[in-house]
Amino acid sequence: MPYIMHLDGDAFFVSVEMAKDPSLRGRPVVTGQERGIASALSYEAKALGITRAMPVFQIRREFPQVAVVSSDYEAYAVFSRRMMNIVRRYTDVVEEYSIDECFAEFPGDPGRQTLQEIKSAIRRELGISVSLGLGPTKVLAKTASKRNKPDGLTILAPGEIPAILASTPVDKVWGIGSATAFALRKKGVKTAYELAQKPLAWVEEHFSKPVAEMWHELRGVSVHGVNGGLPEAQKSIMKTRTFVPASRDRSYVFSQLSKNVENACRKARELGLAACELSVYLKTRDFSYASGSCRFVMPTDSPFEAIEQARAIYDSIFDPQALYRATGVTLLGLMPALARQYDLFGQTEEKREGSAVFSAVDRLNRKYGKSVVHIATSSRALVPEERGEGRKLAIPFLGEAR
Amino acid sequence: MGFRTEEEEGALEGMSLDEYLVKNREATFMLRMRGNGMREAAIADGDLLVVDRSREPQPHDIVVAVIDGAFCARYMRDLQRSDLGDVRVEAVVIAVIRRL
Repeated sequence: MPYIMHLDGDAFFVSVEMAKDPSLRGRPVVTGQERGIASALSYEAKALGITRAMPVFQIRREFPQVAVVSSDYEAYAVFSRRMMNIVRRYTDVVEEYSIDECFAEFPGDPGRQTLQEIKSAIRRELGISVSLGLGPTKVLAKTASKRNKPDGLTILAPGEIPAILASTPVDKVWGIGSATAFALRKKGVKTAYELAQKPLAWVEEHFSKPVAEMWHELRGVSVHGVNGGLPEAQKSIMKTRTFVPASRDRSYVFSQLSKNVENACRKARELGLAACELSVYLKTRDFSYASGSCRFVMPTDSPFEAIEQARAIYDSIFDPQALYRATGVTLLGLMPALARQYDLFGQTEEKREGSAVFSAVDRLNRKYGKSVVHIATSSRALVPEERGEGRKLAIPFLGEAR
Repeated sequence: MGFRTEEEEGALEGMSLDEYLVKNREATFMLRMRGNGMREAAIADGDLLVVDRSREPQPHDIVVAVIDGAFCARYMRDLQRSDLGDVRVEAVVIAVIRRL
């Protein structure tokens, strides 16, 4: 029987901000200043009744004691990578589920002490807290990690699983969408426990395969292995790059952005996903952000299409007076690439020809190194690392000391 | 002449500064020193401090502590002696970098 751990960062973005800036600790903090709406909240901010997507001007007016900061996506990416690396000291089987969550599998019972060690290492080395859950399946591990947030450690003992499932409404079960939850409730199934108690034949008769898989997982039979992943696992793909020195060179900065788009699309192709939406940001040397986003006519994994859209956004937000130090790209609304519908106006046939090109590009790059074949607009962004001249020194900058 | 140090051995292939400076990659961060509070340790305004958050601080170490909501570089022994109130030691300074 595998032992699966789910790790969930506690108010992750805000916790990273607090690790970087001690004056924020213990205070109500909100990120998202650059977007004008709250995107992440500290527990103290939640306690005041602030909610996600609340406009910043409203927060400032009604809660003047709240610190509103800009999102620092590069820092979140660094802390995320480091958090996952700390987990890898204890097991090789780690699935990065999202920027602030991962699953890890242990061949035998890791024991409470090991899990406690993971939590303390993350707290000590990164200055952030996480909640852990351990159970026989991914679904149960994820249910467990939610039990005692923040800073929780929940190990599901077989005897207490029924009680925990009985207090978990079906719509709170990971992987059950609102439509499925509605259908379940209509058939009288309100809690995870009630679902697990139904005969398998009943579940298979009324619902699709994913719900039957969920039934097994709730009963402690692992269907989704770690690294197997549910298809909805990946909600977005983010790629960011910082460059030194800062630049106001229009084509150089675009080249950095173009490289991000290319990398994000490659990641999407690896995962067999296509994106519905693209969002782009530029960060200046004084840490201010400019950003924009767009929707694709059709979900895509093609960098040609994505770069074309990124170019349009870039042209509208690039300020020739500003000195830029980083660019970032996020692909959103990811869906399986095979599930794309074709649009009515025949744009897709033409664009599909590109996909054969990119599977060839992916093969060449796998064979000869990451960027032997790249898009011309990205060429100025290739760093020595990618030309095979060794790794760059990269120690994240935390701020100032006095 | 004498024997070459461990660092000089690899010098021809190119020495990696991060390998030389960094012991625990996940726990290592940089801070910029502001002011002359650590002149005693020859740390000047503008120097870069490489800090390791996983290292157990010893009395002779220079550490970064949070005092009044700000990162401050101090000798560990001075923190233990003083009555600064709520002081939280966050990291041990493992290197100082200055461009000349």
